[in-house]
Amino acid sequence: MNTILQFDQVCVEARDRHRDMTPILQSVNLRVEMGEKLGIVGGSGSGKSTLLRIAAGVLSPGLHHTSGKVSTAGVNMLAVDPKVRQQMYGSTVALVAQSLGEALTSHLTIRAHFHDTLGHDVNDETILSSLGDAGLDGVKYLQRFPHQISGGERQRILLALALVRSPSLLLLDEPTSALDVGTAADVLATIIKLQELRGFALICVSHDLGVVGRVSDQVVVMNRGQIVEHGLTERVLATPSDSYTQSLLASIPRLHVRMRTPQLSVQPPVVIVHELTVIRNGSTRALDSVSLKVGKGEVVGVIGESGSGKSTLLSVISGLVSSSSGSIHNGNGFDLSTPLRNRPRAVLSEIQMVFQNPDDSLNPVRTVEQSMSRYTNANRDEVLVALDAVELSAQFLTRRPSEMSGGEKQRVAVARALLMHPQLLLLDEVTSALDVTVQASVVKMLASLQAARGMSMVMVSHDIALIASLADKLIVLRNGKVVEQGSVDAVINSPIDPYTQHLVNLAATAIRK
Amino acid sequence: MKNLTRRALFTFGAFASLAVLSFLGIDALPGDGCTALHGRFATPAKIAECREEHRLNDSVVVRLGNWANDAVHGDLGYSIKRDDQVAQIVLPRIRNTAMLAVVAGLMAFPSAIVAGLLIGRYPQSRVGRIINTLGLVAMTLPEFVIATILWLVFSIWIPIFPGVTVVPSNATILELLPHIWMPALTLAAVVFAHSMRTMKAGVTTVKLMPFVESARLRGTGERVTLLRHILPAALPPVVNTIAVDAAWLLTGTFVTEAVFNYRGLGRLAIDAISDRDTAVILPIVLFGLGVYLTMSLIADMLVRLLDPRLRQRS
Repeated sequence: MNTILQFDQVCVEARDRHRDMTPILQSVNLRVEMGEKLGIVGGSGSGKSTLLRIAAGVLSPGLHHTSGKVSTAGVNMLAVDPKVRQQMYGSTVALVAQSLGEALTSHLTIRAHFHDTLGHDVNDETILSSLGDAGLDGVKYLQRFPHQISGGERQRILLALALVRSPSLLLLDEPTSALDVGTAADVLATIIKLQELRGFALICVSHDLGVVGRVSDQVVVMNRGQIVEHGLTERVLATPSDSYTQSLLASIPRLHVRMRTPQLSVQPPVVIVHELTVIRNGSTRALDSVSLKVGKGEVVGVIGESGSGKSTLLSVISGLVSSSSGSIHNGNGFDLSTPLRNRPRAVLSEIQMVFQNPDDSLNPVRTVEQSMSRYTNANRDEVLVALDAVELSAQFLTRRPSEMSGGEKQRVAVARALLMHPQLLLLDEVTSALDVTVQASVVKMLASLQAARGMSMVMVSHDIALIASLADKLIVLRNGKVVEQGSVDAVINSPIDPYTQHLVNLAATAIRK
Repeated sequence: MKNLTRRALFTFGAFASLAVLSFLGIDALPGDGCTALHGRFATPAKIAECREEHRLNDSVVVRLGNWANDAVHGDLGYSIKRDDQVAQIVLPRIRNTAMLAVVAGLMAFPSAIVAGLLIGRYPQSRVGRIINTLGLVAMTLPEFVIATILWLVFSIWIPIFPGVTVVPSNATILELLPHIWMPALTLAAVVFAHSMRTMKAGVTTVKLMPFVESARLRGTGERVTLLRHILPAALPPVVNTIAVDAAWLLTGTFVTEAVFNYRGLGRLAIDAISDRDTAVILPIVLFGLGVYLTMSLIADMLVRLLDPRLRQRS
């Protein structure tokens, strides 16, 4: 066997401004053979991306290699002349970094990307065959700019670009984290097909065990800069020996595991949406004749891919976006199409929203107490009660967002919404920026919060298993239309719409156990 | 395309309404062509006679209408004080200032883009640091100080350029050329650092963006990465900086022109204002207006060309 990649006792540290060191990789040993498919999983901060990037000799700013040796295709990546390393890129090793659609240059056409990689004398046939291998057919892509193609297509183009000079090692960092479930499955299938065709060694990093389970033969589990488990993928997923791997597996939402018992009795409504339509950019129907009733204490899960209108629905209910036709009322018959500034304070506080990314919704310069009391006029006792409800102690009062983890920040965002004593909480992909283990704890917290306060919730997510674990009722949106609606068990066990069936199938086969 | 047409129409509308405002504003100032002509020797009778002769007693609306009608037909009016057609006075000065601006711009902008690109890409370079510091110093020094330094160096110590302009305002371009280098160098020194630093800041940000690393990791060469991936992404703010600076070069050069006795628009503006020669002030003001509006229109169009995402929306 030929070894393509070897790590010997590799240590990497992060140094901040005060020269404080945090270990990122601790004495990592790893060997990857030619043609092997290796998956690396771990939470954020586990060092998995650093491990992948250092295999290409790349270290993010602030990181320092302190000891050990990385040898890629026989070259000592961290000691070699940068010019030699640069020549290996694309021809020996290719890295497709995690990026939410920003890895392509926005002012260059797809053809220009290939020209810059291969030289300008390359003909279109070469480019087209490379694109074809990545599952993209048609001359139309050559002339397009990155913003004119979808996320899945961009990821395929990045794959084609990485593989066009036949490297023997392909490094993928979170190749599907920005994609919809269905698109992600298709892209993963393409990756597997390409690997079988070309026989390169593949290392794929993901926070998602499902992704790694699909593309790899071997899996490495990382936690706090160390490899805690390494073995055959099937074995690790079926009988994990390390406690962290076990908790990782246990945290994954399962289609049929419920965090709370679905309530089916009919309750007085807190919000009634009737044939609501939202038209954007003149003609696009972001929402098309959507009707929905949220009862008191009911949890409604909204599921759909990006562009399905699920976030728009929340924005309309919260009043951030106005509807084009249809009606929307609260339980007392108040017209919720009234602009926010004309709503009485009581109506405003009734509905609260928590956003996807706490880094965007919390002001980075304010402490938790400042963020929470600023516009709510809450006193310290009220803030403490709200923090307690999201299982945070009084210590957090003086912390700023930079001093908290992702899960803690999202808890603060939820606590802030609770200060208004809302009857309805709108949750927009609140766990999608969090690690699986953290996600599980936040979901558990939301379930107990709902039970304690009897709030209604509308939860939006792309993860059907996650949402099924919390909701009473599910709504499936596609292209702005409701394609399926019903109790959570009905939708999961006997989906009627083909799109819902597809989603349920994908979720059911996400992890091969 | 629709957006662009709308933008051009807006520019024109803004110009027209600001032109009217300028006319009214200048009209509201104390003094007119007749008081300017007679100056300290004015008597009420002489002024009244003069105003009658040049129809200055008409209402402001009528005079505005007449002026606009003449201007559209290429007649910029008549300066009572200077006893000449305004066009004859202003146009050669515009030509001179435009020449000065073009030479200064050619000295400053291309070199600023190259310097900013390289300093942003290789911040550790010693030459880069020196250029950066010199640019900063030049930017902060008043123009007359730079002019004096240049004058000392290039006219006294190494006398290769004339220190003052001794040719009349209507001299031919060839006659004017030897006199243009010193004021142009002064102006270039003032504006160089603006665009250089904007470029540098842009490159510093852009070079860390995911698409740049991604290009490198695909095996794109260093030169191609710098010129085709980093440069166009860092240019839009520089285009705007250059547009503002170019407009300034065409309209704000009076100090430099005064120092070198260069017969440009700036000198004329100062003279016309101190003479209260309203007929000459007006076209100078309008020229400045037109320059700023045109420059920002051009900048918007260029930025659109650089970013296909903006192009599609237009």
